[in-house]
Amino acid sequence: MNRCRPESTFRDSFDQWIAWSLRSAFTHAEPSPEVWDKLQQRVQTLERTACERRSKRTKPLLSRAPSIGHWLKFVWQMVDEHTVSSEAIWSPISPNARLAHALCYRNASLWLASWPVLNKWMPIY
Amino acid sequence: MHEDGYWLERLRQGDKAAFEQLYEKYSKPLHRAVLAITRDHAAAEEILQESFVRLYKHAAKLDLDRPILPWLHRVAINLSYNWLVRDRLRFTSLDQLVERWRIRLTHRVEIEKEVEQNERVSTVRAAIERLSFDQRVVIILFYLQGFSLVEIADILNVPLGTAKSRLHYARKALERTLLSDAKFTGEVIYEPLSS
Repeated sequence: MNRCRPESTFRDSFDQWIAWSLRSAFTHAEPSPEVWDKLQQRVQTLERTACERRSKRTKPLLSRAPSIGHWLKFVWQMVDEHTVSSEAIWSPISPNARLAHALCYRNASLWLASWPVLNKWMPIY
Repeated sequence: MHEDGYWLERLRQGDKAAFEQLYEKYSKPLHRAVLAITRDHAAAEEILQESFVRLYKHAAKLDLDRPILPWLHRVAINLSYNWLVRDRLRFTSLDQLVERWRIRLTHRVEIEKEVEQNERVSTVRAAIERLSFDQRVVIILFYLQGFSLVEIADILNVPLGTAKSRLHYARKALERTLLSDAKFTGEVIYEPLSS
């Protein structure tokens, strides 16, 4: 057995040593079959999510009406009907004071909406 | 079009068989590289899985004229880096711990074989493990995976000169470590050539 080739340099043999060591350690390593099973599950989940996203994107506008209505209601509550009522607009008080007044009653706007004297100032202090 | 391009094209059209084909073809070499980098069977399997999920997600963006193995390596190396610097220290749930132990027990035979391997081989591997992440990756891609320096530069997204210098310094560091070891002196270094 030729243990030492005369033509081989230290660099060559050193390189071969490293390659041989790594390959002997890792060449036979294989992933377990469970990896493929899990991968399939994840791909199915991805497909399902993509499908749901596509169906949401193609949903007609009318079917989104409840959500638009919800946002309009929210905006209306935020603005407060008293801020945009004709009495408020034509009143002599400044817009800032009007806004402050409206903000003061903002939390009560839902309660006020059902009040029989709708669109009237409710001076509750 | 590259051979992989054909399978990628079919994968884009939603062909599951094409995905399975690509997995069959590339899971083993990719797993081998990740295992060599992380030295953790559970992490290697998780990273392998995540790499293929990303292949599935980004199949539409990949170039059909180029092989996908370098791209898969790039993804896997980035994930390995994340695992080494962050996820390794992260708190794991009980399920994850059980899963890790299951994988370790599955691979126990391999680990026992590793222990029985030549002591000098273990020393080389230990020396590789002591290298910095960048140097270790270059060594594994070059010696274990057999990529050229141009391919390594492409995988790591660095200039060719950087890949060359990383390999050079990694070799130097290995030489220093191994030659300081008594087992790697004189004729011993030539022994594997005959095998």
